[in-house]
Amino acid sequence: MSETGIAAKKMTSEDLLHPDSREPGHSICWNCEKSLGDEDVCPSCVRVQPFGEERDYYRILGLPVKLTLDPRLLVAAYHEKSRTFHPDHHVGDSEKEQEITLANSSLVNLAFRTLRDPFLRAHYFISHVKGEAARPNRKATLPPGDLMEIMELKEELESLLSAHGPQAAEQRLRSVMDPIERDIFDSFESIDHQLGADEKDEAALSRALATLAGRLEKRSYLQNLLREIKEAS
Amino acid sequence: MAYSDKVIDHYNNPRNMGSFEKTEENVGTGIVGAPECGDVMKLQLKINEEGIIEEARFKTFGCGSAIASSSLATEWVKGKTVEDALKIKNTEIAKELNLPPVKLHCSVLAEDAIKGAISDYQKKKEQHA
Repeated sequence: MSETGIAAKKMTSEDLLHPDSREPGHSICWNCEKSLGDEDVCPSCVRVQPFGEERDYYRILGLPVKLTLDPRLLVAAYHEKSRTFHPDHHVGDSEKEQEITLANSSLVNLAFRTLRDPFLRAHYFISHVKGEAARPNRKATLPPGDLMEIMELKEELESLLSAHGPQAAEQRLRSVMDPIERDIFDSFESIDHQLGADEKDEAALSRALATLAGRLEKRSYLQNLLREIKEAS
Repeated sequence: MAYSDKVIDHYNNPRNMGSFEKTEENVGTGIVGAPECGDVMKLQLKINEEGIIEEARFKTFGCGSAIASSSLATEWVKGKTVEDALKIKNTEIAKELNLPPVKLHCSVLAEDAIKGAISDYQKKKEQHA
């Protein structure tokens, strides 16, 4: 199913710097060979079209490439695309069309689940800007001091857990996690703003993205600690 | 997924668990982590004037494979010169412990921790030279 494969191609920084000028995909309808852009359904022969490999999650849902995303917009886009590709609407279609519908539906779900969670979204956004999507087992980039802090926090949480129970441990963890999450959210708007500015300071933008990546990484360690506390309670 | 007997042995009887004072001049500390699974591994080496690793300690938060990898690493580096310790490869650790492919990153962490500890020690020495 190569023509319905996962949308994995990375966006270039040019795409992100000029999100509105990104050209829609150029393809031809698999059925009538009419030239197409990002249409889900061929306007000429009304057959569903596979997303193709170069379409990222934002384009799959037809959303602007931004860190800040209006949840209502996201849900509306998700519902619309789900309807378009819902298997129930394609019961009598050919095998080929059903195959496309199924593959597109699962990509729509994946795109929605990723973009709905602000932290997964930010991670996806960054890995695409930096072209790191193809590095699943990348090594930690957190400075040793941060890792040491996490280790010490973990020990503290363990003794809190055994002495005062999960609530006390979670409260302590939250006191570290909340400010980091606030910093992450705060940086969304400013990065979006920088990306949308007429004159871009590339160096400042790349610094802001690196800071965001570091915070996301730190949060993912803390998230693991939180899961352990929840499992213990 | 079943752990190999060697992993279970290291997990139940970890060798050289604990810490050294990281500010001591002859102690090198390596701390590494994997954000995806949340594992954090600290490896410390006590290195003498001749560049031989006399003692090793580890502290690891993570799965059985991560604990076994760091436990085994402390056993292997003890008595070795710094140069020889740097030659330890994650693949050797993985092979000894029969780690499955999904746990290979644990052995990578152990190799990185050894390298980190030695480079920390060398930095300290340069500062005092």
